[in-house]
Amino acid sequence: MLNVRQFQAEPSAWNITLRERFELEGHVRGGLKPLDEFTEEDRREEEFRGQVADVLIEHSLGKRAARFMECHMFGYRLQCEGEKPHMFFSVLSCDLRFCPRCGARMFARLCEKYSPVLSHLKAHPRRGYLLRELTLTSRNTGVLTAEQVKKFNKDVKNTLKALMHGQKGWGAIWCDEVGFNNQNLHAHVLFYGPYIEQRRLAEVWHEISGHQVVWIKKARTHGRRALLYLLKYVSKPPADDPEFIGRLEVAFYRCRRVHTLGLFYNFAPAEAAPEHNHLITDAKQCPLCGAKLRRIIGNAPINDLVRQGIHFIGEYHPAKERKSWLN
Amino acid sequence: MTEELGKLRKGWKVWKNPQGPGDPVKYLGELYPPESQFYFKGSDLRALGLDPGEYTVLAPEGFDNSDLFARWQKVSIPEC
Repeated sequence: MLNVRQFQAEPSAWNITLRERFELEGHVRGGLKPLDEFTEEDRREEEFRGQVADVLIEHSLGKRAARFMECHMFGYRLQCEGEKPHMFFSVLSCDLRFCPRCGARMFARLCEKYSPVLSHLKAHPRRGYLLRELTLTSRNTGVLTAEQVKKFNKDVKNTLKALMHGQKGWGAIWCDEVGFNNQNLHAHVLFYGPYIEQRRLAEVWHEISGHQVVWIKKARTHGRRALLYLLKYVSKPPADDPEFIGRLEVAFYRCRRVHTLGLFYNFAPAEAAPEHNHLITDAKQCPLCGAKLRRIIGNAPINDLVRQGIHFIGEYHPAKERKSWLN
Repeated sequence: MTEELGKLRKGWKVWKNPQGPGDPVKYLGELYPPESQFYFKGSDLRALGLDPGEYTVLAPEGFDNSDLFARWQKVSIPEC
């Protein structure tokens, strides 16, 4: 794995940038592919990741830059505890909020976490309560900072709390989103509660945040699917411009994109929801014999693991399920 | 080599690839390809006195996004 502190000394001695130092490490240790097998697409991806990393390094987020550069380059071994010790590997992901590779993974994790709430609401509906989709927008100032994002989320929280003052059994989950390649910050909210008038929502939102535009409509669908509509924004990056992605990562540093309130917050289902188990992204059972999987300490370049004849655990997920995570 | 192409002849940064997991990558400096060309082949590195093995080279500035070369390349010097 990349040692950022050590790396920070070498680039100046070698007269290269920190980004180039990260790239070099990926090439010499063997990433997804050896350098001499790189295709145009691989080079484009490296360039994209490098440009994002440049922005992160510029904002003193060297460790995050390293994580972004080495995403899916290293893996760890998983050995099953069955009679025949089957061996697999799983990849190490950067899990940065706007990583094009990690979006689907985050989407799957969030679906797994919040689907039980929707199943619960479907099974135990409350009289007069409905699922609604709200959109709360902010003025596009042309810049986006961590302070803006934090204030925006605080405003969303205070608005919903003010509207639901004295009400019980309501809940909301929202996802921060920006326009494609622009800083138009807004929140898509999946809200469960009593009827709210658009005029009242707009009034409260304006009073608390100073912004004006809001939308409200009945959720397109019920149950888990309503959640999938909301979380689709997490599954793909809102830009194709690497510099913009970098700036988003800086703005969302230590700021979550998905927030919950009320019923969605720390929801503990009364009964387990086995129908969602297939969404678990980190395999815990051997796909060949069903025995428990144990993680072996230490990481290695994926290239080395493949060369050793170890198979990627993801190959054993049925393709249909894997696709169903993506939207 | 034409004068135009001659201008492209610049120093390439060269590193010796590590032999194993604990082995660090070694920077060998900025090396120039032979006068007749502006890129490296394994035989060129051998002629400069480097040992057999794998090397990673970084194209000089100005070659970035060039259609001619990829920025990073692997060059191998085979055992004789």
